[in-house]
Amino acid sequence: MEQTPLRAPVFNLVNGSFVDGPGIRTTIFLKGCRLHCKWCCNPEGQSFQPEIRFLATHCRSGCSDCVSACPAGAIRLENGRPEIDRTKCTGCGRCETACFEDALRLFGKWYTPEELMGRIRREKPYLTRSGGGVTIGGGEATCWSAFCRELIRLCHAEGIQAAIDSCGYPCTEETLAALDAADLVLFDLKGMNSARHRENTGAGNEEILHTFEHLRTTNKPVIVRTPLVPGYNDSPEELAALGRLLHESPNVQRVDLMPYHEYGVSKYAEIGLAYPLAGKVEPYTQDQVRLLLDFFRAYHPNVQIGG
Amino acid sequence: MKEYQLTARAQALRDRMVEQPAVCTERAVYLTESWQNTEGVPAPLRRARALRNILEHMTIRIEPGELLVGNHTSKIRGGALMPELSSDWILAEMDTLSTREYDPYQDPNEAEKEAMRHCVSYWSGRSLRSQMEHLVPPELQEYDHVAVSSFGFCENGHYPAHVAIDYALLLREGLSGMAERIRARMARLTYSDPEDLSRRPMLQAMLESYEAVECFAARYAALAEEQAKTASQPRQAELEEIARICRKVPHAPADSFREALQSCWFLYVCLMLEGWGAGMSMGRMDQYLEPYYERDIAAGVLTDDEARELLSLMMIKMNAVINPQDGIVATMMTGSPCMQGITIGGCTRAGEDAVNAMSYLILDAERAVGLTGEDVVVRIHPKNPPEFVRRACQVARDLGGKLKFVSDTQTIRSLVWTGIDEADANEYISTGCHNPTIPAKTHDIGGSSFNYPLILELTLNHGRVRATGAQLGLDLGDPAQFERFEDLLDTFERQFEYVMERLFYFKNVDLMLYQQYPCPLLSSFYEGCIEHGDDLYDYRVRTTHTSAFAGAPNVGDSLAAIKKTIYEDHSLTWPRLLELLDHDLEGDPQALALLRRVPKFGNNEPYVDDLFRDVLARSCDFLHSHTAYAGVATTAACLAMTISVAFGHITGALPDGRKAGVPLAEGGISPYQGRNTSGVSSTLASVAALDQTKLSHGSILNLRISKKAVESERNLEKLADALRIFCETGGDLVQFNFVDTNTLRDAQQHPERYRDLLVRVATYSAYFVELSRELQDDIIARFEFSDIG
Repeated sequence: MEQTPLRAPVFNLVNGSFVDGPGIRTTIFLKGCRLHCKWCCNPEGQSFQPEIRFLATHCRSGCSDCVSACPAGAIRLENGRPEIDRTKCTGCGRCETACFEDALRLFGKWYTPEELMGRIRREKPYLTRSGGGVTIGGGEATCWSAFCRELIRLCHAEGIQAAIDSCGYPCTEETLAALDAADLVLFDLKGMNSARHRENTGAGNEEILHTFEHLRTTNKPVIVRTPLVPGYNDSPEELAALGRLLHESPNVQRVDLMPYHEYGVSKYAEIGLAYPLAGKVEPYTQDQVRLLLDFFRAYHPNVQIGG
Repeated sequence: MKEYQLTARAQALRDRMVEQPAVCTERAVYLTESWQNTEGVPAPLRRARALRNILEHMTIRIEPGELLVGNHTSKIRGGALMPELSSDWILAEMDTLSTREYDPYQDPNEAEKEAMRHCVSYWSGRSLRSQMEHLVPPELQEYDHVAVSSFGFCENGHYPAHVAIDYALLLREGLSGMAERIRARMARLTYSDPEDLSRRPMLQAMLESYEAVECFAARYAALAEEQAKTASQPRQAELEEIARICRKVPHAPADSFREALQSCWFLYVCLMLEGWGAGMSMGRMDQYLEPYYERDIAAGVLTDDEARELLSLMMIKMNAVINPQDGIVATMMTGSPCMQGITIGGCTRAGEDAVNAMSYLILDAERAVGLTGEDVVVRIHPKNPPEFVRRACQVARDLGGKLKFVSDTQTIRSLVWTGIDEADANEYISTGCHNPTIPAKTHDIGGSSFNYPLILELTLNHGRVRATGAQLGLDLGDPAQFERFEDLLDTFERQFEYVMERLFYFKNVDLMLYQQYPCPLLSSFYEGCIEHGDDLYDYRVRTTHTSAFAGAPNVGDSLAAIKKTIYEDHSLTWPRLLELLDHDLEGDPQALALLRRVPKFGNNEPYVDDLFRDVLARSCDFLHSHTAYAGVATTAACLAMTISVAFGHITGALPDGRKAGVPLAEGGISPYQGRNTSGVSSTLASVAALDQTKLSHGSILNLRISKKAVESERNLEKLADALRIFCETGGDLVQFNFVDTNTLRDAQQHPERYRDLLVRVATYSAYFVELSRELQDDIIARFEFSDIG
């Protein structure tokens, strides 16, 4: 997967972020994840390949510039609108350049660590003087392990702290090497019942817990991030098991609870996917969120909503 | 922590203040009466006697519950007309004041209209504005409101008084002590030195001004005594205390916190009536009040809550003031801005941390008051405690759209660069929109924003305004002749200098005209004026005249778009671009997309930021190289008030993708509305990377951040960190709007529910519902950072 020179597809870069770790951060989102969580709010991060996003509201003129620009013949017009055959699309991005309405946009542009560093460097005072840094997320950042390690090395050379946001899957040497290189790991624990976990994400949680154990034994600073999805991973047993795990993990500095939201739903259609939980989940009420917060505070001294 | 809440009396006074403004004719009537009776009297004395006539006869009142007294008009929220500056508009607009689109006032009653007619009949042909008509040649008339916001400050209808007196001196000496100094100076006057000819009436006028102020205070004392006779307790005791204090200050030195506040307020009211200007400031209030507060606390005669109440009462009183301005000026400074600065924080004269207990109490009071009139300016110095910055950010967030945050590091650097002694620079305050000024030592004259994008338009269009065809610039040929991008920059610079030289003319006329109206009361508190027997408007006191770029980021974005598409990528040609501009960006969507995709200022993209920095610095160099009338220095700033909307009306389509007629970039240095999409830190870094030192008299950045994003304490701290870093890495000034788009939209639909919803407009706060629809929409169009937290 990784290429020479080292490159990875970036689908988003956020500067001046107040979330994804301490201080002010630049967060880089790498494409590709081996889990497919039903509630995923970054579906464009799942595929390892660049993808074209189609914004229907921008497409107004009914031109066919995208059709003629596509070298793979992946686009045809249907009622004046482009239909993308995603089996043919190579993610080359020529339709993005051709579309003067900016209705077609490429998720996933290839960057080298040096190229990203050029952008990060310009934010440096805000990252270093606020106790912040860079967060590499995704997708699953550790799937680009060598890339992550090189970017972290470059950050460290400039005195910039670097965190990885990871779900810990799969638990490979490569994954662990990337996490070892980071100053801080934002670790996503998505459920304690392996069978439910497999239903929800496509894989059991054993490897994830192995990765978590590695972080615990190496005493890696960790912020646990737990999506809480009503009816999917919030049974009392699962929550209690998670609470116990947190209680027994002194390397966990903070626990961020992420109550279910639907902010990412519109992106599914834009990349030709269906949202698996459409109409199936009722978000928590404020009171329920408060109860969850109180519940976890019994297990860990530093729990917050969001982050 | 429990937040301080207004006391019942303060709340009642605050509630009364949120109402439609009115114009007051009393000052105009008494000034005119005196002026007619003093023909032939030397100007300073004439002014002092006019002030005396005003202060002796104007309506005074003590509101129920008030502890601090002194009103500058007969209205609850009002502006005193100044017909000596600009009068004809009063006659022309008196019947439409309540119905005009921008800044409507209450309908004047028939007696007031009669008073207006009477005053205007005298001043028409005599006012500075009338005099200016004779001095501006016809070929320059066309620049007014097109290339420049006004061709004279007098057109604004108030004084260019970006000033603060030495309030500490007032409190220490009292007017009695100051009068001693004046008399001592008068004793040294000679009959032989010709310069003493003008000193004698000036010094005499200072003394007479003091007598006028003391007469005003005595009237309040008498009124309080009168009211006390029929009042029941505890109000009776309060009124007796008001009377006691008014008998004492400002004549004598202040001995308590409350006396100090009352003394400052009296002086401030009288200064307003002498020569009010938006930008007249209360100085570094935390510094000069602190000793009185500490003394009272130590003596056990004052509590923190009592101090907060007195501060809040004064802030509420500051809302009694508005700028009465004509319909055209109101489009440029919409929302009745007064910019009455209260500067807090920063460093001391010696460069040490200046934050004290009073700094926090002022923030507490401001959080509870939170109206448009009081303009709290927070100086940020690296030595200030982080808690102070965090608290100030919290107050700004809780108020939605208030507080200015100014960098000490950058401002002091700029001031020293312009030649001001560092210890003096450390004492700066922000006056007006944001002009760094040293209390009692410097005077900055604002008042002429110019339309920077229009100069680019003239460069690309044979010197003609695209919308009207008016030939305001030089015809320097067809842009297609520019072989290199640098040729375009050189031509733009020539065009800039040509237009600026014409605008300098307006400045010079202005500076000359204002010399007719000395301000002896104000001047007596300026350094050296007693010794020299001269006036602020003699310009011996260090005076600067600021030329302010409006819409500058549109020029940066436009030049970057031209450079990339025509000179680097060769994706566009000049004919194709000019055709697109001629057709208001319609008809060639491919070309428009190419322009749109060039990096835009405000995203920490060196491609555009570096180019913009260089172009702006070249323009600044030219401004700084000019010396105006009487040796006044010309300086540069980036501030647009609301003229970014008015200038937008007459500016054609620009190569950055902005269509004709819509507003230009707002604030001054804020990235063009909606373009700074790369994160708060990226916007801050872009702005801080400009040559802010050469923008020596301020640059205004507005940021819109969703309230939700900074709801949590941890994110508030991150915002405070971002602010400190901005201030320490070259940033100059930033202000925030923490109002969500949905709230603003709802306020447009239901204005009655949002009567006191504050927004940061340009460099001031205004009530959103009092703004024109177009300006409201422009504020909504600013990019809202909502997903940072």
